[in-house]
This record gives sequence, C-alpha cells and structure tokens, in this order.
Amino acid sequence: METQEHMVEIGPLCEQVLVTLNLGVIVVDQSLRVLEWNDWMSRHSGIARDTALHRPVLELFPGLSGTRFEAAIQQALLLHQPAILTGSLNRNPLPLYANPANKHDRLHQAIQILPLRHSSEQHFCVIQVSDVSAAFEREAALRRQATLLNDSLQAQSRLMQELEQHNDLLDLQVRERTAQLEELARHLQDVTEAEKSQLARELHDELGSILTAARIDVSWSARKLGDSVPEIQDKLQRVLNNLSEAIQMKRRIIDGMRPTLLTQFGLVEALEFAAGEMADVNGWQLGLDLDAKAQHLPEDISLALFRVAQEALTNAAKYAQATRVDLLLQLDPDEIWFTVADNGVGMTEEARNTPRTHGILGMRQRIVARGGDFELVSVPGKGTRVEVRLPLAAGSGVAPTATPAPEH
Amino acid sequence: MNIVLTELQKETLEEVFNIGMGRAAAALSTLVNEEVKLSIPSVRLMRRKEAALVLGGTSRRVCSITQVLRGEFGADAILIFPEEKSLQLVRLMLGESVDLTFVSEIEREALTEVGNIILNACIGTITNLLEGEFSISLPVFKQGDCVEIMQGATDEQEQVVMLLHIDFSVEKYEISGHVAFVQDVRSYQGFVERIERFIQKAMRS
Repeated sequence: METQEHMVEIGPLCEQVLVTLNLGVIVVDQSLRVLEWNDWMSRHSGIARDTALHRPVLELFPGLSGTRFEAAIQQALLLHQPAILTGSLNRNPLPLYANPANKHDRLHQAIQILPLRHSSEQHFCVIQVSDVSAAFEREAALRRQATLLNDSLQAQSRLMQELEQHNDLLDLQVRERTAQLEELARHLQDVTEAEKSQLARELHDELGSILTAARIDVSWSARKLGDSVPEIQDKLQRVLNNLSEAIQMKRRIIDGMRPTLLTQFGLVEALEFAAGEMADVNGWQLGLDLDAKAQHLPEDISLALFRVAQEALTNAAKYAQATRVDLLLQLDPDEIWFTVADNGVGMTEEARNTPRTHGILGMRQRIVARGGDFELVSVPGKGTRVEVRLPLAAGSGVAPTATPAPEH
Repeated sequence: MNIVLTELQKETLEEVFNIGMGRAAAALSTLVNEEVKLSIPSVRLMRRKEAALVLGGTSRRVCSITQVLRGEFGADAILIFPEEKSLQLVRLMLGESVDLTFVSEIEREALTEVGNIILNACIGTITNLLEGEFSISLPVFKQGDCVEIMQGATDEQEQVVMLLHIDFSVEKYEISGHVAFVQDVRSYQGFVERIERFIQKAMRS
C-alpha cells in the first residue's frame, strides 16, 4: 500500500524530470524498441515522442544499423556492459541538430549507453546523449590558436636564425675590412715616413748645398764690395740674413720629417731630450724611467714610439695643465712597454671622441699597425695615461752588441 | 597464501582473453577505419605493491582508464598506457596534426572510449568465465604515476592483481600497455575455483 502511494508520487515526478533534463534520454528494451524518448530528443531529432515510442530505435535512426552504436546497445542488453561513444571517434553518430528544421549544424555528441536491469529476465538499456558542441568549439579554437602560436614560434626561430647568420656575416666583413684598413694605414704611414725621409735627404743634400753655396758666394761678394756701394752692401746683408733664415728653416723642416735627434742619438736619448725640452717650456716635473736597451731598437719601432711620445707630450702641453709628466719604457725579450702619463685635468669620454683626436687616432694607428696594443686611460681630474705594448719580432736585436751604431 | 597460477590455468586465461581482444580489435578497426590489432601475450598474478613497481613505480607517467566490476566477484579493471605513447596513439586515431603538450578534452574522451572498448572485452571474458550477476561502472580517465593509479579506494596491500600484458597496434604504430584486475583475496580465491571449474567443463566436453 505504502509502496503504491510512493509510486503514484514518483511516477509523474520522473516524467517531469525527463522533460526538463538538458540531455537526451532514450530507453530501449531487449528487442530495441523505444520505451522512453524524452523532450530533448524530440527537440533535437525532429521526431516527436509519440512517433518514437514503441518503434525499434534502428528504424528511427536507420543509418546506425551495424555500427558501434548498435553493438554497444547489444552489449549493454546482453552483457550488461556500459559504453561511451565520443563524437570525435564516432563522428557524431545520431542525426541530432540544434534546429532539426534546417539540418545544418549537427550537434557534437557524447553518448553513454548504460545497462538497466529490471529483473533477471527483463533487461533494458538507457541511451543518454549530451550536447558537447560548446566544448568542441572551445577546443577547436584552442587548436587553431595553438597552430597559430606554433607557426609564429617557428617563423620567429627561423628569423632569429637568419638574423644570427646575417650578423655573423657582418661580423666577418667588419673584421676583414678592419684588417684591410689597418694594413692600408700602416702602408700609408710607411710610405709617408719613407717619402719624408727621402725629402729630408734631398732637402739636406740638394737644397742645403745650394743654399750654402749661395751664402758663400753672397758672402764673398759682400766682402769684395766692401763699403764702395753701401746700398748694394745693405741688400747683400739682407740676402745673407734671408739665406741664414732659409738654412735654419730647412733644418727645422728636416727635423720634423726625420727627427735628427732620433737618427743621431737613438731612442732613449731622443726621448730624454725631447721630453726635457717640453718640460722646461711647460714647467713640468719630469720622471724618466727608460730602459737603456731600447737605444738600439729597429728604426721603424723607434720612430713609432718617438712619434707617440711627441704626440702625447704635445697633447699634455696643450690641454692637460699638468705639473708632472712621467715616461716609462721597459723591454722584455719579446715585448716593449711604453707609458706617457701626466697628472693633469684628464679628458672626458666626449673629449676623447672630438675631432682634435686625430692625434690620438694617429698614435693608435701606428701601434696597431705593428701588431701592438694602444690604450688611452683618462679620467677627468686624474690625468691622462697613454699605454703602449708592442711585440718585438724575434731577432729584432735589442742586445747592444748585435746592433749597428746609430747614424750620425 | 600462494598466488601462483598453474601452467594450464595461465594458458586457458591467455586464450580466453585473446578471444575477447579479437572482438575489441574488430570494434576499434571499424571505429578508426584502420586495421587495429590487439593481443594479450601474458597473464601474471602478483601483489598490488609489486604490480605498481612492475608497471614503472613513481617514475613513469601513465594514462589510465578504470572500470569497476561488482557482484559475486569484485575487481577494479585498470587499463594503463604510457602517457606519451597514448597521446601519439589517440592523435593518430583522431587524425590530428597539432601536437599540443597536454591531453585535450577531446583526446581524453577518445582515449576513454578506446579504453572502454578494451576493458569491456576483458571484463566480458571474466564475467563469461564466472557466470554471475555483475554491475559494471562507466570508464573513468586518470593521469599520474603507476603508484597513484594503482592506489585503490582501500589501502590494502594484500590485494591480488591479475596483470595482463597487452600489445596494441594501429597502422605501423605499436604501443604496449597493461590491464590490471585489482581484486581482494576472497574474490581471488573464488576466481581461481571458477577457472578450475571452467577447465574441467571444457575438458569433459
């Protein structure tokens, strides 16, 4: 009695539940006839509940004979095994649509087929269908984004690779060009030095002798003329003075081109003399620590170091406002270390890059062209230091006995 | 308690499981339009702790699908494949070209269905042998290491595991996994008696 009352209450409630459910429910018996076909199924299949009831499910869905759908129902009825059918593997088996009137968007389906045992003789099967179109769309979007991301990452890495290759190529080109330019600069300097040397010799030999001969002749003429024609005597004296000046000028020019100091006295003495003179003029306290072995360095190296010293000292005189200058020259068996340091105002980074730094570039060029290192260390307020390291070729002969005496 | 099968029991089990696998393979072949081959080369019995280690312990990431069997005989049927391999397999079956680094929802569902088909075949074989009334749950997908996966609802290390080695191939692709039936000792004893009875019956006929 109590059970019956219970049945009466639960029955309509169950029906209502089936109507409200947001998933499709089909119940079939052992002969695959439809016992329940809920509202959701009618809505999405276009087959009304009354049409569906008591008809074999495969008659309603004729395309499903012999498919996994049928096999799974049989499995549930005979072996009581539940099964799931995914939309992706089964290609959405049921002809269900968002709107069955226009059969455009077939629903993406997740189907569960569940055995239902009423008694040991009566077996049923519940087919439950959910619409997973939203999840499917979400995943399709995700997949598209992932593809895009993958593609763009690949493109990016290809681009990076190309850039790196290009960079390497540019690097190589820069190194090659730099080497070429250094070689060219060295060549130009060598040529210039050789030309200056040649010119200096010609000035000395040719122009020098012409000027001297002219002065001797004019001097002789002046003596002969005596006081007879004072106007001519005055002119001759002026010619003599001019010739003397010309001779002086020729000497100064020759000195500039091929430092006589260097050719006559060797590097150490030339440095001592040049620095001493500059110190006198500028009122510097001078510190000299020059290795005597450097007196006999090869000519090109001596000249390079002497030019660096000249430029560094000139810069110190012009800009540093220093009170002390130090020169340090050290020789190892295979290297020379040379430093010119002042205690002046120093230079800013900016100042080091201004046009007047042709001089600095020139110094650097001379050293780098000979395979050495050049560094200009300068801190505002803490002075400037020019540091040079030059390699000595094997057998360049710094031993005093092995070298010829300097030219006189 | 001795948990060793006789040679005859072992061979009988391997044979009946392989019959079930043939049906599952046919179902999968129709589903993916490719020839699918399934076989059970060996059946072994062991303790649960031991089984977890045999399967790779905590060092190996796996995908698993579990269905629970209840009735006169109770067991958790767990299909276990290495994670990376299962991903490749399911992508092959779905014909997807994008390799995501994680298992997507659709891939997870497809794997669950594949597992469902294989497990139903194994469970069908067992229930056929045991001839009783059973209820079988829907498949549940899980990822983790083997120890986590083998950790049942109870923490009873004495449980007996029937471990089926399973070889699975689609196209030229091969994957090797396991089906583990985790059962309690009582179920196990009934199980062995049933196998014996089945063998006796088969020999008489």
